[in-house]
Amino acid sequence: MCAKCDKVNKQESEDLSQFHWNGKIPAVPSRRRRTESRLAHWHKLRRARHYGVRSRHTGYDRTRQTLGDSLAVMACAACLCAVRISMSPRGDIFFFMKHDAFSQCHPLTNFVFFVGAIGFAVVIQHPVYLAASCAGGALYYLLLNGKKGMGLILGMLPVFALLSGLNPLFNTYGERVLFYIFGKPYTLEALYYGMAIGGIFVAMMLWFGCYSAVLTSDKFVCLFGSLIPALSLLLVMVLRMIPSLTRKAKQLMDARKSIGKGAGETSSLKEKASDGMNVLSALTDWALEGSIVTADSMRARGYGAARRTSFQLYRMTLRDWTLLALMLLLIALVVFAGGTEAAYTPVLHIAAPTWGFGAYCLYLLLPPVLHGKEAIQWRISRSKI
Amino acid sequence: MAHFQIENLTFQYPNASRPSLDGVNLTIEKGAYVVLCGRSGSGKTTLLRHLKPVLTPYGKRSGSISFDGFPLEQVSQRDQAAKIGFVMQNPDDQIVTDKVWHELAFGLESLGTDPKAMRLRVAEMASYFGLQGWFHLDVATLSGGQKQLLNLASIMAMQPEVLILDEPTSQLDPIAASDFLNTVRKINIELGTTILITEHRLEDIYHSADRVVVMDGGKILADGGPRQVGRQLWQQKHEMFAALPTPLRVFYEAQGAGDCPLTVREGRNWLTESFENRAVSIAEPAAEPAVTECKVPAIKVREAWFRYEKDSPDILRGVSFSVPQGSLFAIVGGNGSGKSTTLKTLCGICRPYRGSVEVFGKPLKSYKAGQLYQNCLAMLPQDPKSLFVKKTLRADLAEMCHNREAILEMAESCGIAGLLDSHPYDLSGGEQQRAALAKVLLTNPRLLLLDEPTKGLDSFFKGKFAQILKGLTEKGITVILVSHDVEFCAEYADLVSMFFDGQVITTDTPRRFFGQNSFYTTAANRMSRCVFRNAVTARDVAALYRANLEEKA
Repeated sequence: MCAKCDKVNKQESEDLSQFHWNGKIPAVPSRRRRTESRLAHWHKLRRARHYGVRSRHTGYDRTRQTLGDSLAVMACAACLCAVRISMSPRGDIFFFMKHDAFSQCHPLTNFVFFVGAIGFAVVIQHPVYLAASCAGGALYYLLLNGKKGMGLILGMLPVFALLSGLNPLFNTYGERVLFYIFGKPYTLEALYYGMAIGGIFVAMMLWFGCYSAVLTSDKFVCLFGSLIPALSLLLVMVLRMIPSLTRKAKQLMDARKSIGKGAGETSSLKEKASDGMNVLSALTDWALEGSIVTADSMRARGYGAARRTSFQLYRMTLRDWTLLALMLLLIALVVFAGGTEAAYTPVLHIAAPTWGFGAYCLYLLLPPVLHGKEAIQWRISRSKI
Repeated sequence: MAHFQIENLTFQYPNASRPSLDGVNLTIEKGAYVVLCGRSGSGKTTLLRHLKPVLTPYGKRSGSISFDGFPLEQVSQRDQAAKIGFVMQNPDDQIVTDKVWHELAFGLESLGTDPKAMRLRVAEMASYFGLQGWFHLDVATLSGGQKQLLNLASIMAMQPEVLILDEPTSQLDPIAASDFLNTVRKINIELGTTILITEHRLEDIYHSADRVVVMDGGKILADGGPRQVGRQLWQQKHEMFAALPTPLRVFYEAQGAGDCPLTVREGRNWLTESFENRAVSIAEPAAEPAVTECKVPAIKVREAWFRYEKDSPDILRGVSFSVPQGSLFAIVGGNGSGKSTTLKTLCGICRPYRGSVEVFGKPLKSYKAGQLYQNCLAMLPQDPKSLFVKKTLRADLAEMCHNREAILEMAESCGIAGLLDSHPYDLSGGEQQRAALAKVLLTNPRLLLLDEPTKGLDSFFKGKFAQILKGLTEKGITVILVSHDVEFCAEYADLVSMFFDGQVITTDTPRRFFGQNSFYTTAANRMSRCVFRNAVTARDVAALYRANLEEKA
């Protein structure tokens, strides 16, 4: 009989004693998780809650604990690393070199790596994998950018906190309610989901940062020049236009200022807007005039006369082929090992990491390992002098 | 066989009143170095564009052009791209891609060259031009001279037989220009490429030309060797004579005898021979009247220091100079030495972090925003197109001043009255310069700052521009001019100062200033240093020569 609403438990045959809290967390055979569907279990819990019994997430408790532990360990490790790095004697990262060994590889190798890293970061929602992805991305980003990289990484933390905190306001599915806000429940599962989304976002930002540092415009053009020649040439021309337009805009504003037509600090918003419009229209005129000369120059050099070929600035070496093969192997391993499922709402269901996680870590650490190997070689060779 | 054979070519633009090319007959031999000169608007660019089919303008055409024996229309697009190279005036606009290696390979990529052959040709060209150090750089980091060299290299990578250059050095400073022209000459001598080049600055290329062709009003006026053309222009007393190099002009104006000198070296030899057996009695031009010292100088700069960013090197390192009112003050110096930055400091665009700038006795900081640019000072920037924001010139001038009579008067005095209804970008270089000057003068400034006003102008426009400036100084307006053009400053300035290492080194009258330099001076001075002192213009040298000979006679 329900204590609150006097409802009679219709399914009296069901043994609800299993739901009574006796203070212990029994060991649960892993089979339990697979014999009973998630939805059936959820309904059971709901009924149990309604009837005033405290639920016990028996099997899931353990995972939650291990999840919590591993996250805590990783966070500590990351902090320690950060502290160690910032306290380095020369003020830079121990293995920092201006030249990145991975960037010297052929663009195809780089591209496949980043497709894998970013693809996995987006698709896999498992917290351990996400943490590994963030850590790997942060490490490589620091190796590429030195101390300045810390700025972006530290800037990611408030974004992460924001995303994880905001998600429960919109997603009210979840079991454990922390408190009520705006009349809606703020649940723990939704918070974990928010953290997962935040983790995906941070990982993606870090890997895209690394991507833009490694895959420059000429590498992109080398890769796609023969496949989509018109588009890659367009990209290159746009990349040329942007800095020249900004420089010309500054020139125009200086010229207008020197005859007294520029908007200084003391003019009103309307004047500034009107001055901006004038400069923009003059800039467009200038850009269009310049483009006529550029078009002439292109046609004069035979643009459109024959099918374009593409200048090969990079060659595939043996190292590139082996790296590519290794990467594809690791990707296949991660995909087929499984163990990457994770669901957050309405109940937490996170698979235990398998050996696929090891393959994933290895995959993410490929660029830093290459970088470190070369740095060590340099130190060894210098110490021989 | 001739490389190009142009027969009776007549061409008229669709809306033009008279033909741009009128019965042009020209033969260009293989391996020749041909210099094409003429005033702006005489049809040089139109003629050059006719030699490259993809760039030929649209209009009414009659006559024929043949390339290597075949009519030009029948040459395939591949052949005309590969065999005929065309370098244009603006180094920035011709570049298509953002990296140096891609620009070098662009032409070869467009022709569908096999990648291995492309690598070899690009490597070969980059080494020949000395570009291998910049191979991976961004194009935006190159200077103007380097960009133009890159354009030349990217065209030469396609191994053309003819190279057509349309005023390639007009946007470059003198050092970069002479480097570029030397490279072109090297290409002609070492590779045997036919060169057809148009220039306003003839000092560097006139003596090395095989043939000189002078155009006027769409017709060919003179066609022959350099000395022959010089004699013909002198005999006809044509205005193009003023564009010819200094030694030639001095020779004819002084009515010298013997072989006409084309270079400074030949000029020196001629002068030394003429005065071998006689003593020079009048060695200096007449002394100039002293400049009256005004109590309040227009500009007084004291120890100005400036740099753009906190960690970048100092551009101005203790600049100190003062400019008397009503004078035409010129600042000369090398490329990138900080002359334009000095002008921007005077104008208030850049603020020096140390030192002071006084405009008409008051510190620059004490001027309020609107006060400084109304009836006080104004600057004409390096690129006059930066000042135009409207669709017609009339609208641009009306933006400055609403009084229609004032606008018409200003347009008359600057010589652009007939152009008021055209779009500013449709005007030629010289017309744009004067239109920009008109716009600036409508603020009624008492101090005018000019940044490289003679870039890309021909001698005729330079003379007109100088007349306008002289008119302004006579009215009491101070003009400060920053220029690379040593000849212009020597002829028209009242005071010249040299800018080097972020400082103004010295200030003096043109005669004394250029008279004491042996390298950074006019061609006339370099030619006559051995015999005369302080003769800086061709007119000075010719006058001194005649005076000395008359004295003897």
